[in-house]
Amino acid sequence: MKATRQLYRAALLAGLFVLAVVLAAATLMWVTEADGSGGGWSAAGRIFVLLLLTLAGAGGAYLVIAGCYTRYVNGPLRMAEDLAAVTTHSGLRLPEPATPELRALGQAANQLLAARDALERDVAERVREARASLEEERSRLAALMADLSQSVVVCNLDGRVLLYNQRAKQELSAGPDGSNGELLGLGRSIYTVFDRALIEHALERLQSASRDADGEAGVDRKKLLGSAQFVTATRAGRLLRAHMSPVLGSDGQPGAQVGDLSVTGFVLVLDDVTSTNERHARRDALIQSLIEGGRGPLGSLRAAAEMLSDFSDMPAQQRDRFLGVIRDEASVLSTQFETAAAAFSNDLRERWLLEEILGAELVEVAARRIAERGNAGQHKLAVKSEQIDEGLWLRVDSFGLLQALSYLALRLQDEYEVREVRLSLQRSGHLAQLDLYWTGTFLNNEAAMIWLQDPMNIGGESSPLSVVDVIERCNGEIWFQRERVSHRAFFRTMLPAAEAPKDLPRAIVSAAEGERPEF
Amino acid sequence: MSKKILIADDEQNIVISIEFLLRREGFEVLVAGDGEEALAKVRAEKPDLVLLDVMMPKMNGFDVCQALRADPELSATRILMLTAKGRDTEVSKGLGLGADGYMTKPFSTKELLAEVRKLLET
Repeated sequence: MKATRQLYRAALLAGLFVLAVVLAAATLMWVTEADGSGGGWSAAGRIFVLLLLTLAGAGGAYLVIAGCYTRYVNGPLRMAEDLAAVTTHSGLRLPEPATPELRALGQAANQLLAARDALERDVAERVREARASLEEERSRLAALMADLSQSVVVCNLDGRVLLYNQRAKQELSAGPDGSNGELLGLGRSIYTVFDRALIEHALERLQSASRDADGEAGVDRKKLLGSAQFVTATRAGRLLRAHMSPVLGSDGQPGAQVGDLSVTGFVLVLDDVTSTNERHARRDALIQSLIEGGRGPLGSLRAAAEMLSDFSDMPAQQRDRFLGVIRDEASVLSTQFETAAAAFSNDLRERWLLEEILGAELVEVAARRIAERGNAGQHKLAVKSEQIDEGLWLRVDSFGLLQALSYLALRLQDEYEVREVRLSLQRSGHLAQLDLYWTGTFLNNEAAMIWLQDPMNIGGESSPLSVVDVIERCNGEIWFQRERVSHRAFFRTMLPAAEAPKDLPRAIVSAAEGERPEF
Repeated sequence: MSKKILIADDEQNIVISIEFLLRREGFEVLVAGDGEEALAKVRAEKPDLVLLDVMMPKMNGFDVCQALRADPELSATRILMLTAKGRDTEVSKGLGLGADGYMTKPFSTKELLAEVRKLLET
């Protein structure tokens, strides 16, 4: 409103100025007009005076425009420079502008600067508080990890170590002779410590188990977090049970999405189970020797005793034979018992912990792995799975079992040019029947037996274990069989079926859902 | 004509009882102390039934069973496996390879006899 009034005043003044100039010129023309007496000004004189008046008018106009320029153009330009200078530092303010119009603008700019300074102080305070909180949580985490009897290692998906505790460093860096090889360190690869294939297999299982479960029956939360377990040995010969859990973030690889997050790395919690295992192995060996070693003598004892009681009319010589059997077997049993008791402290049989795995998942991974490796060669190998019992759980060494299946399938491809193998998994009572079968190509029993007992070699990677070793480790049996009528041949593996684990998968509590993560 | 039964077991003490029992029941009994001998005697004597121990020297019972089932001339021979290994997977393997029955030691001689009679009747 004020600006409009000033505009009207300026227009009025400009009008008055033009009017004054016009009036002055008209007056001059009238006063100096030539009359009949020849008086008045000459034409040259009047032009001169008009010129003077014009110059005076132009001078006046210049003074007015110069004043306006200083006031309305230079003023804002100077103010813009001042503003640019004060915005680079906190606490500075614009100087008071000379004109009332710019004064209001300057005050508004100063208010904005003050608001900005207040926000900066607020942000700085929040950052300080967040740092303090982070530091506190770090200290808690460090204290927790330092006190843990387990080794903890955090890695990204490439296997680079991001975090570990001292226990992990001591355990994983120790060499066979007790020397410290400094294998574990920030930024180093976990694969210098563990077998790459083993970790990748666990990671694959972890990624396939971590998923969105929206719509799945019996799941309370929409996001599920998988985990994987495996057993491995350190360079120092200690046996570790590893529990792998995913680390979720927003920049993980595609394919392992859990809600808006994806798997960006993993945490390994390692338990030294050497002594526990030794204890279990000793107990198992004792039980095994008493059960299997005792069955034969007990069978002979029972049969001899039953013969003596059922056929009391037998000749004396025959009776003495049976009594001799009873004496012999009683003696054998006593010796076995003593031997078992004595061996209890010495028999350190290697023992592997088994994990529950959904059978269908194992078959799917096996089919994928066989196909990947089988298709690398000149002749392609097709893998199909059929008759899969989707609800069947197994308790096996899944890594070893996958190696065994891959080894057999690839050997069929390499040596017998088999183009297609099929996998099936069915329940058979309380056992699981896992078949790897094919049609048409002849394989004799002797060759099959050698395959099962040879150390496995898959694509140049050799294992000290044979297929039979792996299957026995899983408490199973494997054999080769042919069906003449259908021209089918198969390796059949019978494995103990397992109960579905109750604690997997578990729901996650993540900061992304607005809840505070807990260590 | 009495039925012929081969006992293939390297444990002499159990063989004594089973042989005595089966002879008393009127069967003709043969004995083999290892897997290879068992296979040879089956081929030579063509018994009606083989009582086959799993853990034997030279050739185990599973292999003998598989060899018998692979030979069309001998495939009619009844096989009853006797073993000190009682795991379900091993029982399953024996039956999968073609055994007609499976008994785990220690067994009752009456049950053994009943099983033998059942297999010879079928």
